[in-house]
Amino acid sequence: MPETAKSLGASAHPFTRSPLLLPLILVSVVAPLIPLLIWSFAHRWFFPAVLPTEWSLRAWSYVFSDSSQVAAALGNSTAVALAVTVLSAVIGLPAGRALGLYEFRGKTAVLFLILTPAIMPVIAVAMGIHVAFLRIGLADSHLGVVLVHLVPVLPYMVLTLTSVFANYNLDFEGQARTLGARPGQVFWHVTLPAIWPGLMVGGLFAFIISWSQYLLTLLIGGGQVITLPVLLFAFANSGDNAITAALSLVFIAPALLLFLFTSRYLTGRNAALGGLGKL
Amino acid sequence: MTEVQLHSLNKQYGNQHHAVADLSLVAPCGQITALLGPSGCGKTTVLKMIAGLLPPTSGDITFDGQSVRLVPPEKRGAVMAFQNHLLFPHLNVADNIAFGLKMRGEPGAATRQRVEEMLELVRLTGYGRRQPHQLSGGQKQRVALARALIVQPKVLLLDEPLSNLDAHLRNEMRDLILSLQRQLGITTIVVTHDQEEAVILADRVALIFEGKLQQVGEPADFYERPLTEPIARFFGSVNFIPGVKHGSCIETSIGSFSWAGAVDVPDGPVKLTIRPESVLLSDCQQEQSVPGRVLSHVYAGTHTRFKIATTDPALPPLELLADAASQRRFRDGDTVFLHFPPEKIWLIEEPENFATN
Repeated sequence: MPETAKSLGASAHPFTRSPLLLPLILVSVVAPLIPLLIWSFAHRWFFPAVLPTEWSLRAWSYVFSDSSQVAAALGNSTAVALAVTVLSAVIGLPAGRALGLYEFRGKTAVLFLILTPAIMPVIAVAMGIHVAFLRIGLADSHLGVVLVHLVPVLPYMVLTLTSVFANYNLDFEGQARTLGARPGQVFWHVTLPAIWPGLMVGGLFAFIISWSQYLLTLLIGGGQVITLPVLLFAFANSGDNAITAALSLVFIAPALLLFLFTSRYLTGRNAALGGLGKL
Repeated sequence: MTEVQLHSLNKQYGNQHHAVADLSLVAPCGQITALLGPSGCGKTTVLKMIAGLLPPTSGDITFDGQSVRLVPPEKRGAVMAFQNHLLFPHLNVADNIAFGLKMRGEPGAATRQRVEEMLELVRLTGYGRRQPHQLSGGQKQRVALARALIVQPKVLLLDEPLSNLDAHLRNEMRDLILSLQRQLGITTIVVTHDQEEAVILADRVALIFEGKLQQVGEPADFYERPLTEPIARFFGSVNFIPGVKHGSCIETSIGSFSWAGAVDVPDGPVKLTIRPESVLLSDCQQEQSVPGRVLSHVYAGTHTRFKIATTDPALPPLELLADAASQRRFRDGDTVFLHFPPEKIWLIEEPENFATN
C-alpha cells in the first residue's frame, strides 16, 4: 500500500515518531490533575506537609448530593454545549462549503469577519449583546446562552470546515448523482462521510469552547442558567479548596473523555486539520 | 437503445468566454462516439451537460427525441465515469459497485448477486472486500466501469477512460470497453484528447477545437479526408503545399502534380496535402518527381522519417517530410527524388487568402 505509506509520511510530524511523545503528553495532561485529585480528598492540608494530614470524602459526598446543584449544572452544560455544537455545524457546513470550494468577490473580507471573534475578546461585545437580548427577551434563557456561545465557537467550526472543503472534490457528488442518487442521498452517502473527520474536529472545538464559557454564560444567563463553570467559579471564590478541586475534576472529565474518543480524527491522517495550511 | 442528440448547445462562463459554442451532434444508438480535442477545448463540459451536472446556457439535449434539459441527473439514465475514477474512499469495492442499486433501494440479496456478476465482467472476481486504495490504477478504472454499468444506463459517458493508464493497461482497458460495449450495446460517448484513443475506440469521431465542432465522421475520414489544415495537423504531421487546381492538375510552387482524388473539388486555390508515409522516395528521377536534399532523419523502427528540402534551382525551396522503409538508407545531404502518387493526394479547399501564403 504505497499510497497510504506516502500520505502518512507526508503528513506525520517528526514528533509523532519520537518515543518521548507519549510520556510528555501524559505528564502535561495528567500531572496538573494530581494535586486536584489529592485536594478533593483532603480535610486538612497545610504547608509544609507534602500530603494532607487528614483525608475525607466530604467534598465528593457534597458534589454528589442533591443540594449541590452539580447534577443540574452538568445537565445544563451538556445541553448547552450539545446545542451549540449542532447549531454551529448547521451554520458552519454551508459557510465552510462556500468558502472552501468557491472563489467569490469579498471572500477575504468574509473570512476576516468570521475570524474576528477568535481574535477579539468577546467580552467587548457581550454588553451590547446583553442589552439586545434583554430587549428581545433572550436574556436569562438557555436559548440566549446557546446563541451567545455561538460567537466564540463559530470561527473554529467554520474555519475547520473551510479547510475540509478546500480539499474536497466536488466531482464525487456529480458522480453520485449520475449513478442515481437524489441530492439528499448524495449528502448522506457521499458528502457526510467525506467531511466526517473534519466535522468531528470542528464539533470537538465547539463542544469544548462552549463547555468552558464562564463570563458569557453568567452575563447572558443572568444567574438563571447555571452551568458547571458558573458553579465552579462560585466555589473557587468561596475558598473551599476541596469542593473546588472535586468540581474541577467533574468539569474536566467529560472534556477529556470526548477528546479521547475523537483523538483519531485529530491525527493528521485524514487531513481534517492538514488543510488549515491552505487558508 | 438510446440516440443522443445535441442541438446547438452553448455553454458560457462569465460574459465572453464560450466553453462550448453552438454544438450540434448526433450520437447514434448503440455506437461509441468520441469527442476529441485538445485539453481545455470544452469536451468535459459537454459530457457534464449530457449527464445533467451542468446546465447549458442555451440549446437542447435529447435522448431518443425527448428533451432532457429539465430532467435531473439521477433520472436521466446517463451515467458518467470521471477521468480519475472517483471511487468513494469510504466504501469497499463491492459497496462502490453496488452504490447505484442501493440508491434506488433495490434489495440486498439481488444487489449482491449483481455485484458478483459485474466483478466477473470486469475480471475482478474476489476483489469485492478490498478498499479502493489497495487497487492499482487499472483496477480502479475497472471498478468505476462496473459501478457505472450495474445500473444499466441508457447512455454511458466516459471521460478520458484510458489517459491515466500505462501502455499495456491501456490496451487491456480498451479491449474491455470495446467488448463490454459490443456485448451490452449501450450508446457510449467518450471524451479524449488523444486522437489514437479516439480512433481505436470510436465508431464516430467529433473533433472539437475551442468549443466548436470542426469535423464529424468515421475515424478514417480524419486521416484521409481532413476538412482543414488544423484538423490534418491534429492527426499527425502532414505536408501542405499551396497550389491552384485546374481539372486534375495541381499547380504549386514546387511543380505541378496530377491528382486522382475520389471527391469532387472545385477548381481554384487549394492546399495540396500528402502524408509523409504516402510520399515515395527514390534516388532516380521519375515523371513529376521533385528533387530534394535530405536535411535530417529520425529512425522509428518500422520506418525512418526524413526531412527534405526541395532543390529545384528554378523554384523556391520547401521543407517536406517523407517516410521510407527502414531498409532504405539515405544519408543526410543525399539527393533524393520525391514522388506524390496521384491517388494519395488530398486537397483542402482554400478560401481567398491563397495569394498571401
